[in-house]
Amino acid sequence: MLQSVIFSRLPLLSGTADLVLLVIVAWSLQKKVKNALVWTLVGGLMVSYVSAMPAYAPLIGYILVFGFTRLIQRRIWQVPILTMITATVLGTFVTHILNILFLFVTGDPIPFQESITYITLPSALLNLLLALPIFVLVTDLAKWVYPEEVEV
Amino acid sequence: MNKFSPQFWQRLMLLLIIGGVLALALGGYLAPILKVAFTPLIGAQQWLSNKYIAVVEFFTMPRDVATLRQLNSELENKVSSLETQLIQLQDQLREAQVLYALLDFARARPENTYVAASVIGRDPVPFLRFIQIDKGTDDGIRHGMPVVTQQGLVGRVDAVTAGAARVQLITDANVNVNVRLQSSGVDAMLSGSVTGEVTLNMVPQDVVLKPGELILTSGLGGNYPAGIVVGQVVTVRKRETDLFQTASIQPSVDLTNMPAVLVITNFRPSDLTPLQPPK
Repeated sequence: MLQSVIFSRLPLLSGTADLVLLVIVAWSLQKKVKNALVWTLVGGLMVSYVSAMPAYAPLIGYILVFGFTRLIQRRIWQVPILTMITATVLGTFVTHILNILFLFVTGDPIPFQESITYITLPSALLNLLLALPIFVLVTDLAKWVYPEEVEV
Repeated sequence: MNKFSPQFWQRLMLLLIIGGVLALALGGYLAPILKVAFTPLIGAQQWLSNKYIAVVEFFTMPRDVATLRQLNSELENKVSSLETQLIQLQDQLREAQVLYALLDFARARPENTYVAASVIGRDPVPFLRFIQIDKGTDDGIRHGMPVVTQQGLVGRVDAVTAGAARVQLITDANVNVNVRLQSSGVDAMLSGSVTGEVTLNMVPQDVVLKPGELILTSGLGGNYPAGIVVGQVVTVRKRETDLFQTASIQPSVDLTNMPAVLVITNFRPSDLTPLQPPK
């Protein structure tokens, strides 16, 4: 809802921040969170339902984002903030390119170069700006939902 | 013989003095003297009054403070409630103004039936130019119905649920609208783009196209009713080597900031698929 009502109305050139992507990345990076894939599916399904994008493209995009966020975290970096930034930028490009491909396959092609220049790059910048605040908020939320166990 | 007694003269003198003093006082001649005479008295009375009030407050104040605190909190609650009410009323006024404008537009075109709807969201994917409205099949909205505002064409209904609908805007990259130039009556094609810019295509080279030219829907293709304002020509691109000239169009509706729209419910788009040659 926030994405549809607020963030989609605040464009930079023609790009907008993707709150769902940011939350999925940040939630996937929380060590104690075990059900991040479930929330990825929920977020992806909701965006797919609201959006006019064909064939559940946002859902597939978000699952890919979840997958490589976990991959980066396990195999490359253990520092969550670095992973957050990298996964955000990569995730923006992956989801956008996937959307362009889906539109091309379903017969509604859009110009690739123009899309990258005017939509994907500004969106990546906006996502990058919001990455840290969202990470902090989601980390607090994770601490609240999964409080640390104290030995007595 | 003295007819009047000495007492009489005394009383007369007294009356004359009193009358004289009164006359002087009424004439304002005694004001400086009275001021000097009364100033110490007024000061004394003020002092006495202050002391009296202080004494009264000493005995009654504790009860009054409690009452005042209670009253204050009640008033604060009332003020915050009124402020909330004011904000709600301002919102309602803004909405009412929009609806009045839409109603004026609907009255000006009695041949159409309209359903007013509020814009409740935008497509989360930035490649697409769609909005969501709060009316659906329960309100008579069907797929393909044109959507307008008092300023002009917005788009058409793309998908509907019972309580909401998705509208594809004319700025979407996959939208083509058959239009007509108002001055010359020449038919052309309007196309959206991925950045939200709108371009006028298929305008023959011999047509004089000037900035400010009004663009209306032509009704060709059966997707939109004819005669709805779409926008104005901003810049013209004309090259000798091209078959057609093109122009960039400023949509008449601010599609980025629409609180409400009207759906034309008595217009059924024509399905031309059976008439199209097989691929």
